[in-house]
Amino acid sequence: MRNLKHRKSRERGSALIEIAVSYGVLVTIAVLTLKASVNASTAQMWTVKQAMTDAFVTRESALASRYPFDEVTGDSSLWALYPSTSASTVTVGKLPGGAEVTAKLYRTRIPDSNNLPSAGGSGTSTTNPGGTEAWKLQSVLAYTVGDKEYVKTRTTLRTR
Amino acid sequence: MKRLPEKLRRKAFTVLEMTMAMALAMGIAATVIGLLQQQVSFTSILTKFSFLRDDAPQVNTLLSSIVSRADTYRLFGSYQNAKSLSNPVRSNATTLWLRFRNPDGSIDNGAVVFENEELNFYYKNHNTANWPSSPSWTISSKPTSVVFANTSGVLEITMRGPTGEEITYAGNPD
Repeated sequence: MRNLKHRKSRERGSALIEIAVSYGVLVTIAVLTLKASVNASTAQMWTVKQAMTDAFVTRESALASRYPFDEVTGDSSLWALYPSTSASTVTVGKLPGGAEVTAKLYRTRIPDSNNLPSAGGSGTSTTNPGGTEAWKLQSVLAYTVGDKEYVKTRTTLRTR
Repeated sequence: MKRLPEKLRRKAFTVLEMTMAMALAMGIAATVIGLLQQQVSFTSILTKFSFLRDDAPQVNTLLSSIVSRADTYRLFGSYQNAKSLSNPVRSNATTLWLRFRNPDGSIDNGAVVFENEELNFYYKNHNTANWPSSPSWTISSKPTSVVFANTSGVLEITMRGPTGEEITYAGNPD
């Protein structure tokens, strides 16, 4: 008779324990799914920004190959004479909803050491009798994903 | 007032117990609904990125393989203009006209046209006199806008997705 009384009281209190355990399990599941979703979202953002910046540096390489040589070495060149750099903020794409993704673009042009002095080098008519010119056009794209900063660079060699 | 016998009173739950049990059960139900909503919203976010993540790179790969085989290109505002090679433009073009030189010296032509919410490809073999009236194949129907431009000496292809996302690819024929 006494055992039956004890069992009944245990059964009455068990609902509370079950609900508390359910809460605990639910909160754990919620935290885990939230973490998984945030991880998936971060990885996706990384992939999307990689695609955008890859496309941009490809365009930069194409531009460096196509840009008229006289303008490459001219005063208004897009690539400043090293060690100076020209810096600008560029839009590399747009996210869903139209938010712009921006990055910092740095450009510089580096003369080959065998260029004649008039072309930024230290070559002479002996080492460079043809007076050929070679320039390295370097573009550096700096962008962020989350709190991390990434850099991509492309260098194009132009000669004449 | 007659009180219930002790035996009967112990069989039932008190109001406080019932209230607590119901409140906690409702709390669990609310948490489950919240979890479901969270998953739905994350799935929706992931879906919104599918154009930039999956579709645009695939279209770019296809376009790159087409454009890299061409030896020259021109931009036009419409397929009609591309067929007659009239009114070429440098920006805001919806048609990319391509010329393919074959090993035997003959020339084929192609046109990548964004029309009716589709990016289509028209192919004109050197043996045929006229351009096809319907697309040879559809490259993609995912972009909502594709614009070709060449304002900097580089062919730029700007693709826009269904939720305003945008990416610009570049490429020049070999």
